This record gives sequence, structure tokens and C-alpha cells, in this order.
Amino acid sequence: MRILPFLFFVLLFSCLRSGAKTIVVCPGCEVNEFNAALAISSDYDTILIKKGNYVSVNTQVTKPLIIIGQDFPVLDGQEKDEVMVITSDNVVLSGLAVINSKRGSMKDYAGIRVTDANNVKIINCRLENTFFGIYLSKSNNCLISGNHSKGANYGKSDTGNGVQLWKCENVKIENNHMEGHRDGIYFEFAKHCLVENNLCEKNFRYGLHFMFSDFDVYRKNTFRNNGTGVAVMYTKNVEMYENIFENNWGESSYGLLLKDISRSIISGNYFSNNTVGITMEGSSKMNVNNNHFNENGYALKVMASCIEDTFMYNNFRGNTFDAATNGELRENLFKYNYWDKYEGYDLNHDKIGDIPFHPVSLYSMIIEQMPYAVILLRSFTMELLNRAEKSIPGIVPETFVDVAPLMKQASQ
Amino acid sequence: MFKNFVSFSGILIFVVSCTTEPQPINYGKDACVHCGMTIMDKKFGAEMINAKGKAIKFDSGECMVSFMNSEKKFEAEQYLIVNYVSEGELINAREAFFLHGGEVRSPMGAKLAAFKIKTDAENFKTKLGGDLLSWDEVKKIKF
Repeated sequence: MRILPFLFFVLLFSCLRSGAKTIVVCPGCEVNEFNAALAISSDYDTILIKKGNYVSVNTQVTKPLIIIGQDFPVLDGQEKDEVMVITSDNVVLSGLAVINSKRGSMKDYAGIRVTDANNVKIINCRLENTFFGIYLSKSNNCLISGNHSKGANYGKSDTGNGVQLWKCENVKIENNHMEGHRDGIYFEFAKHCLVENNLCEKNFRYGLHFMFSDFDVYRKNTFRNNGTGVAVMYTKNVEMYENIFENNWGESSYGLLLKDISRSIISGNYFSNNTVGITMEGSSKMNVNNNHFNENGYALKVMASCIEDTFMYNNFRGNTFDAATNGELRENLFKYNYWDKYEGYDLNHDKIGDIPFHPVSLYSMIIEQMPYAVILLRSFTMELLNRAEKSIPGIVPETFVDVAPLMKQASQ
Repeated sequence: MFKNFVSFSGILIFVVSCTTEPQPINYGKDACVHCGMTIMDKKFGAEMINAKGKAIKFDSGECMVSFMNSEKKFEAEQYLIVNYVSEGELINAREAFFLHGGEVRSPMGAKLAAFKIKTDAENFKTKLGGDLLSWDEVKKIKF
């Protein structure tokens, strides 16, 4: 008998669930406005929007709904305000084209804003001419997948971020394409998030930018042609695997900028054609292994403020400078890396060079102090000085040394 | 004649060496001296100028203050900070009104905004919350 109330609730619940209806919106339909559909919907209804143009200025989604677009219906914010604001849990958006949010410097206008809502899914949407693309604040357990966002003011300095997370946890960002924003993806106080298989290109500042965001993982992403590279700052316990950093060229441009970061792993990444592959300042207990550095201006810039970092099994090929620093390094370990500039020998055939390798050349020390010395690049004078320094070391930091360089490239 | 030349060149050197005017922040191009980030947000930004007129730029007030509290050396004569309500306008930090805390969203997450006019600061205080501080109080904060 005690099971009866339970059964009653199950039945009631299933009745409620089966009561969920589908509202079709199209230009010729009975419901021809997105707002009208929202007004007559109840919890857990599905709104199916067919192809067409719909006005959506600051549309508030305040109940759990499944909103599906067919052939990318256009929700137009008419540059008056934000396009859509989600404040309810369990909302699903799929297949929408969200365009024309307002721009401005006083407020971060977004195409799709999610505030204080959990379990929100934004899938396969296109965002165009929005100041910020998708902006999540204080929202947990969300999914952002398969979206494509082109920023307003494409490629100019006053543009917003593609995806921005502020105080979020457990958010998964996968298979997105972010271009022409300030930062492709920006994390501020975002923890336990996963960023996977995204492409961030032609963003004005960073492809990916992390501030105060611990315990995150990012892997298999591509960051290319971004104004000033990728930055991970004031953060700990971050794992970066198998990302590609390429073509980040410019005066203050890096593949990866690390500032005040600790206990993190950088493994299996490719750094190609960047002004600087990785620049590190104030970072400690980092594990940098199995990465490829190809044809960068500098492969590594490790500032003297870095301690207890480990660099192993990395391949350095075709870089103008393998490494640079601004002082003596403390307690950093370089071991078993492959350096194409290594000229040592291996008499006992254990595939490890018998003499240590100093990746910092005299010339890179000079150029650090006098940037205009670049005019002497590859000159006979510099070659002579580098050779002299190698034979009788005096200026190059003694502690920046690979104690056991590999004779052949580290296999992955 | 020679004497004239000497005095003239003396004046010239004097004039050249004394242009300690604020240099406008080139948003999207200049990098913050302290954190290395490109300066982007026009509501924020700061600058220090030494007696010789050399200027170093920051993306936010909190970066300038933590730079001042770090071991890095720069003998600044002027401290300038961007007025929150006027894009890129550099004002004297010593006379500015600061709003700290609440919902202020500054680039380095320290919730610090600066205002030229006190009523602006008070208006934003009612909107965003936080506390009104003076430059001397801001300097003591450990960001």
C-alpha cells in the first residue's frame, strides 16, 4: 500500500511530461514571432523555429525549453540590445543564427547570454556581428558545442570575446570555431572546464585566455593567426594536451604566454611559426614534455622568475633561437630534449649526447639587451662570438642547460 | 655668437627633456608592463611617467599598484589612470576617486575603477556596489 503515493507521483509526473507540446514558429504560421512562442509556452515545451527572419531584442528565456531552429532561422537583435538572455536551467538551443547585438564599451552586450542557469546546452548555432558571442556567468554544467561565431568589428580592437565564462564550473566547450573576436575563448574564474577540438583564429588578442581559472583541461585545439597568441595567467593545475599553436606573429606575440601559473602540464603540443613558442614568467612546478617546437623566432623564453619547471622529451627544430632568458635559472630541469643545434657526440651509443647542451646562445643574450642587434643575425661576427662563448663560457647562464640531450628526435 | 648658441641649445635641451606629458594609451597595440597583456579595455588603463618623461603603461590600476609594490624599479613622478566613464582619458591618479569591489569588472579581476568626478563614482557605487577609496588607500591594497 505504501507504494501507492509513489505510483501516483510517477503517473502525475509522466502526465506532466507527456503534456509537453511542440510550438512551430514560421513566417506564415499562426505563431509567427519568436517572442509570441515564448509567451504561450510552458515548461519543457519544444519550440521549432522554421527558416525566416525574426526580431529578437533582449528576448528573455525564463523557463526550461528546447528551442530548435530548422535551416538556421535568423534571430535579429537589430543592434538595439542583447539578442537573447537565458536565465532558466535546462534550456537547449540548437541550429539558430543569432545576429546583430548592440556594441558598446560600458556593457558587454552578447549574442546569447546565460546567467545563473545550469544545464544549458548551446549547440550548432551561428553567431554573426555580435559584440560578445556566448557569455556565461555563474552557470554550471553547460555545453557549448559546434558553434561558429564571427565577431562584430571583425579584427579591430574594440570587439568582444567569442565565448566568455565568468564564475562557471563544469562547462564543456567543444568543436567551436571562433574568429575575429577580442579573445576567442575567455575564462575568468572558470573551474573544472574542458575545451576540446576548437578552432580559434584571427582573434585580435588571444585565441584562448585564462585568468584565475584552475583545474581546467584543454586539448586538441588549434590556435592560429591570432593577434597576440594564447595566454594562461594567474592559474594553477591546468592541463594542455595536443594543441596546435601556429602563426602567431607580432611584436608582443606568443604561441603561449604563461604568467604566474603553477603545477600544470603542457604535453604533446605543436608550436610552429610563432614569434615566441612559449614565454614563461613567474611559473613554477610546470611539466613541459613531448612538445614540438618548429620554426619559431624563439622556441622558449624562460624568465629567471620561473622555478622547479621540468622540460623533457621536447623536439626543437629550425628555431632562430632555441631559448632565451634574462638571468640565472633556479632549479629548472632540462633533460632528454632533442635540439637540432646540438653538435655533441655519443661515444657509448646510448642515444644520449655525452656533453651537455646550452640552448641559450650568446647572441640571444645580446639581443635581449639590445634589440637592434638583430641586424647582425646570421653574421660572421656573431657566429664567431657564439663559437668563442661555447669554447670558453662566460656570459651564457650556466644553469640553462640540457644535461642529457637526445641524439635523435624524441618519438611521440 | 658662440655664447648665444650655447644658451640656445641649453634651452632646447631643457625644453625637450621636460616634456613629461601623458602619452595616450594605444589600445590594442600597447602591452601592459606588469602582466604582459595587450591593453584592450578603454574603461581601464594606467600609466607611470618618470622625471625624464619615460612612460610605462598598464592595462589596469591593479597592475600599476602591484607593479609599484613589486621589486621592479621605476622612479615615477606622475601616476595616471583612465577615467571609467570616458574612454582612454588619463587623469591624475592622486586626485582620482576609486571604486573597489561590488560588480566592477576590471581586466585583472580586482574590481577597481577610477573616476575623475566624485558624483560619477557615487553613481556607479549605487549601481555596482563596492567602496569609495582614495589613491592612498588603493596603494595599500595587495592585488
